[in-house]
Amino acid sequence: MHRLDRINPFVKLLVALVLSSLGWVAGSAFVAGLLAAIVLAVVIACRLPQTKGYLKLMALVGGLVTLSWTLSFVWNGTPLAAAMDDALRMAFRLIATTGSFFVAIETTSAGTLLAACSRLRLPGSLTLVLVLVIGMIPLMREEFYSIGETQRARGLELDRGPLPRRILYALARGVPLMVQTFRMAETIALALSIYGFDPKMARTSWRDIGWLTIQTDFPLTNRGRTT
Amino acid sequence: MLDLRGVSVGFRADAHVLSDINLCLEAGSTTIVTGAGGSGKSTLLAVAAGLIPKLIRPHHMQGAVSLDGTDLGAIGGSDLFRRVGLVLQSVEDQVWDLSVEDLIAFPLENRGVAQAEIRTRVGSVIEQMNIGRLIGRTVRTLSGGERRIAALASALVWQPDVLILDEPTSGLDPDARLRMIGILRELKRTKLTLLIAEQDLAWFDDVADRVVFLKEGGIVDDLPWQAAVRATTPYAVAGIEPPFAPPVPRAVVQPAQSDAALSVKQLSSTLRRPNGEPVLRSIELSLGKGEVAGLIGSNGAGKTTLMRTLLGLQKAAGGAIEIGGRDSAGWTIAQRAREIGYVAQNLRRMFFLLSVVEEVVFSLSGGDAGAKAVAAHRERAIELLKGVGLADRAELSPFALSAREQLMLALVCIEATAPSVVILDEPLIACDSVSRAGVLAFLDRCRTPGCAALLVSHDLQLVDRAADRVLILEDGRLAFDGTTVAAWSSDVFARRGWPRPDRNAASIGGGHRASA
Repeated sequence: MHRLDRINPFVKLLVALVLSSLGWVAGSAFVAGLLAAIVLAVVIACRLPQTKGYLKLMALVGGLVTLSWTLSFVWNGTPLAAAMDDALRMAFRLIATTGSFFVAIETTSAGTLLAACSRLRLPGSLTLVLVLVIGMIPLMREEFYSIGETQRARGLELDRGPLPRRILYALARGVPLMVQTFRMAETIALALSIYGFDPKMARTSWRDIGWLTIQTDFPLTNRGRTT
Repeated sequence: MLDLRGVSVGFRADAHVLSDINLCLEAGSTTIVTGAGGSGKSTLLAVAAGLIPKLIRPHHMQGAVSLDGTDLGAIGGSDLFRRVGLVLQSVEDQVWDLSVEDLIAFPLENRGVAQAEIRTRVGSVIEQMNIGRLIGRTVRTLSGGERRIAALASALVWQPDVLILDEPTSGLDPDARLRMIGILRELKRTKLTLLIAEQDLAWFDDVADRVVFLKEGGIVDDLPWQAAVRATTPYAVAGIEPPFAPPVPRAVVQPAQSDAALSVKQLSSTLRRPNGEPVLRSIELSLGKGEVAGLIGSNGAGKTTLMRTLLGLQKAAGGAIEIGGRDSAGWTIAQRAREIGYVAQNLRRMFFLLSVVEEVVFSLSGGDAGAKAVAAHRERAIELLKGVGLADRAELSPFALSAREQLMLALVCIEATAPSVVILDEPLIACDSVSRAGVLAFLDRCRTPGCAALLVSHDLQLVDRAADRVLILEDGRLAFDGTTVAAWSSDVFARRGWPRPDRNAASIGGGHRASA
């Protein structure tokens, strides 16, 4: 678990919301860029396993956003310098928003989120949605990656060959992913009932939950040997 | 304690999954329900736990189920699942991404139990099951055996009256099985009533009191454990391998050693262990054409890394891999796939087309499943499907097939590519006679000149039956490479403390019962 898991997830989500909002109200590309740089520095400093993938994606999406908006503004008669300023502002906003929420979500475990929801006395259905979203994202990502590997090993040329075929093959990953998602959702729903989850019932937690921090170490006196 | 009277269940109007089941569990007893895949074991457990009809609504259901004389329908869901602990078969999906302590505490937190009591109960179960070292880890980072133990701990935290386990040891490596059986023995000593669905009974000495045999939804036999140990007929009737019968004498096949289908030289991995050592260290290995080799080893020995490196999914730090006499350096994963047929442990990840026949056509055509390819290869595809009894399923979605049928489809797809090497990753987690026979027949077909097979499995009986040669990985090194017969008497195998598969199953788990 990440050390930021100790921070109350709602505090992290609030900080992410503030950073994201600042990005959207920034009046110039320079200010938005400064904010995006701070967010990216935090993303890198957190050293999350998914950071490399996130940075790659942002480089691609950021580049595309800048290019498409610049062309669009210029096409509509905006001078190039102003068009680029606006387009960059868009891209930096995107980075500030996605980066801050990326950190907030990726450093939050399902357990601490459940505990924080209990502390806030959130309705059970909202708790369930939040936890499933945060809990399912890594599972789906892991599954998507594993499916890709298995299908490459089956002979699907996902990395070479004509682009249309590669796109078609990449889409093919969606079939088993969808099947697995349904299956997982069904099993989790069943397991939740077996574990006694009831949206109408107020949950408790083994953790000490503060407004800022949440306990992450289970207080066990004897840790035993091994299984 | 738990009583099922005249229970019949069906999910379609025209078929029963369970037919007229009468089963009474005595308090403190351990009952094993066994049978082939699709015999109704999981449904029986779901009925006994109250999942059916409380959470899963069948098309029709007759009969009554009672717990301590009270009809399950009259017990509220929350109270029922407190009194009846249940660990499902698909535990990997069940436990999502909670940490071990969160998973164990989850049922208590959901019922609003006070913090101090949660901590006491969770701490007590953790100590009882000796899993303190797993605290702080998320469930999905655990091995298969550890996950099941964590799920079991979560089911025990309420101290249920009855514990129901669906295939608790299936697919586990021998170490994990021994640990799980040890835990079950302890639970039995506490006089907890246990109902277990399981196919491989060889490990359940000192655990089981009684074995119920299921076939096509009906009970075909019901024997006390001592009688089940001596019996062979009920297993044959139920369609599973008799676990206590003497091992089948294996025909020793001498492969043609003229050429190597797979040659690995000084292979080491980029992936490292926590102590900095590479996961694979200087692996030297050669598989002759027509040879079937079994690869075994404890969890973490490097089996998966070796497989992934051969398939090109993991980069090698050094060494060479020759496939069919050609150096594979620089090949893409898909190029390797034309030479190495791979059957993944999770078969659902392998399929991606809309019909069974298209999957086979994709393999036959070398990567095309369009209309032209289907027209060109359909006849051959159907012929191959006919060989494994799937011709009538040709137009179905691969995801509509049963687990056994998916396995057969995967084998057909591999066969269709005519590879130089076949890698089977834990192909059987069940002991169905039909599935096992299908895998053995496939491996026999692999023995034709030109194809070598690497069988990676925790199922030592399967390795003993199928492999000409056994490779034992230990801490990333090939610690043993020799004939199957020699493997079981080697010091390397003895160090594992695992039961010898070439001996009667009566020795497994330190049993003291009569031999088969």
